Amino acid sequence: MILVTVKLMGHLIKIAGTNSLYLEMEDGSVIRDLLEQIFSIYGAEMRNQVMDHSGESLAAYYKILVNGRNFKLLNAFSTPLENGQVIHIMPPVAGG
Amino acid sequence: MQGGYTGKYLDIDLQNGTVKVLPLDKEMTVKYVGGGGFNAKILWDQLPAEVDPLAPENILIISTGPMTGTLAPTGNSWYVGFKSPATGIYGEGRGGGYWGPELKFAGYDYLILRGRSPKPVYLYIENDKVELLPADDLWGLDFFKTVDQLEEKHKGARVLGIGPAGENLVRFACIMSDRYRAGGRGGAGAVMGSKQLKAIAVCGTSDVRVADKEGFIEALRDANKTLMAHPATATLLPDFGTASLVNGMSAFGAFPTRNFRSGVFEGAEKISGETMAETILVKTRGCYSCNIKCTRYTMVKEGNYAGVESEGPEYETVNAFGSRCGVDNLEAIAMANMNANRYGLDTISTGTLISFAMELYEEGILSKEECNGLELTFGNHEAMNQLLEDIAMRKGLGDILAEGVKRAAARIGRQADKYAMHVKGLELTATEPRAAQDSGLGHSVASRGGDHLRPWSPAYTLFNFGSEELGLGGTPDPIVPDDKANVVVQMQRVSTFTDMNGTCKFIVLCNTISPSQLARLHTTITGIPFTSEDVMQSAARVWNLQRALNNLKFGVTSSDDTLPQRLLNEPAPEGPAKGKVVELDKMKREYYQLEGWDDNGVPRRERLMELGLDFVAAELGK
Repeated sequence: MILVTVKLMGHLIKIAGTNSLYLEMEDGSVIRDLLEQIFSIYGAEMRNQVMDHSGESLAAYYKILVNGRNFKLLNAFSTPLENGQVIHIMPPVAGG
Repeated sequence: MQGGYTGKYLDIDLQNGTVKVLPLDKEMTVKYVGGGGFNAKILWDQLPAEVDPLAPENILIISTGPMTGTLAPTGNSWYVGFKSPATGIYGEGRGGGYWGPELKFAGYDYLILRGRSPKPVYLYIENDKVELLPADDLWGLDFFKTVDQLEEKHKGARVLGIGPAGENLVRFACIMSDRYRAGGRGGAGAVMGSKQLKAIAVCGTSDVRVADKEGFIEALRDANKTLMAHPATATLLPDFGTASLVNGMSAFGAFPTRNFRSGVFEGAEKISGETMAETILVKTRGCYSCNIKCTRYTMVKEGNYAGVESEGPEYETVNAFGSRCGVDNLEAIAMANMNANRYGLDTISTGTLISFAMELYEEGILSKEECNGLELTFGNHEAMNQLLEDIAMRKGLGDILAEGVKRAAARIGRQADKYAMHVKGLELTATEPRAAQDSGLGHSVASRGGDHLRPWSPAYTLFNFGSEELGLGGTPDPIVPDDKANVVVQMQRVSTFTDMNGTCKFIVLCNTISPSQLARLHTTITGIPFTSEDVMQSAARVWNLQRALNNLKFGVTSSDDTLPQRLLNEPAPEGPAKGKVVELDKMKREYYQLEGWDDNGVPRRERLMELGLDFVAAELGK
């Protein structure tokens, strides 16, 4: 089994009622499996925020970071999960 | 018909109290647009190169842009230009609020302030009436009380001015307006203090004329549609303010922590925009003509900091008084923010100075006695707040720190410069460049020193807000130097233009409003035909003029375009950039090539001629 920490930001915190999740995943799981696990817990509201209408891509400007690296610079939804990883699900943020 | 400009400016000699009302030169509007463009041209033409920034001979310009005071989105900006007492080079700051539009309503595009008043004075402008009035009873007051008194005396006036930090010539004192807005960086407040000018209260009753009303309404509708459809300006800034960045920046390893020892702060969540919204936020506010309304009006209701009330803290301030000082107490940060506003201190530089002193204390370079008896460890927020007051009032260690981190390190000696985080004397901002290489380049070449806003390129490299018109798309890798020079050049152009036209950077920060939309707004307001290419070219002209000022008048060379050794030589200790340093040389070479600068960082003759800066080209090699 793999234990990962998921950090939520912005409006996602309200949907989940928390900003941190600790999830156990099967060996060999990838980011897509993790998302499905999260959507199974928090339902359509979470899915509709994070994913676009096709359900195949992230919603506009959403990002997933794996230990701080944008998952698109890794293997995107197929990025393998590893024990101890921190996964950020990040809505668009802005400032400066 | 030219719109957007009032067609007049004030030239005020504080030494002898004379006020001249002069016509605006039309060439200025066509070539330099306004704001930072006006400031750079006036400083080039009129400022003696060798002048001490705090001497009467320094010039202080407060300008607006053609969109200031119109209904253009965020048409609220005022810009201050001067030789910086922090850096000795080009100084510029921008503020929002309501003061800039009021200056236009009174009938003026900009003010030039010269000389030094023999006694403290303030300037009162009510349309054609322009008076220098005694400020003996205002001198020594904090900025909030100054506003209270002047608003009471001059009903309906908007107030810009300085707090005690400016009076005490703290080299990073701000000029403030509208209570909480700041032209924050580089010490404009100290220049104003050196002139014994406490405040400028302004009240006007005219409108700002627009050249093509119907065209403007169309351009405005289009721009507002874009802003209200983009997540940054439609929901994120309104809902969480600029501090919505805190958690994200820390996740990327780009949130400077404990004086840039790291880019990851374990206490980020406690000081984030999300936490602010749940705790101290009372309501949101906006500046003139702004639908984004990113301003947080906050109040601490209980605990040791109960009663603290201010606008903000903004992202930069949360970083400066938060992770930079190892503080995860949002109420303590709110206190520091409120007091910085009252005293008129730049929060970014002040936080950098305090975190610098904290590191020196922890490294054993400064003793407790040298630290005014404070236990100046990272995380000690009571000591942080005390030291802030000591800096504003120049007490003990505060007097040394009030000189800015570069001078303070030199004065302390004992290798303190190793911990001084600045570029050209201006303290660094809240992006860890080892995790966003482009930001390292941007800071190193910015015209006013260590500056994150020309441009805030992490909007693209970290947060992936691309731009079709700028050719920025996909997912760049922030921790490698490849292709970053072009990103900085492209985004620098757009951000420079918003330092000229009178709007806030937040309409372009995330590549929201495009250059062609800016051009359309500009054309319809001014009646001066502008294309998106003109937007980029005029911004390039002003950027290169600012650069030439730095090169030819103030002696800046390529060796000044650098970063603190920590960022160049010490690998990031943790986070996604672990093991990385800033690979500056490669990016800088590419940047110079793209800008048309020579190996010494000076714009080449042909580049200057192409930009219509032949009078600058004529000075090369002299």
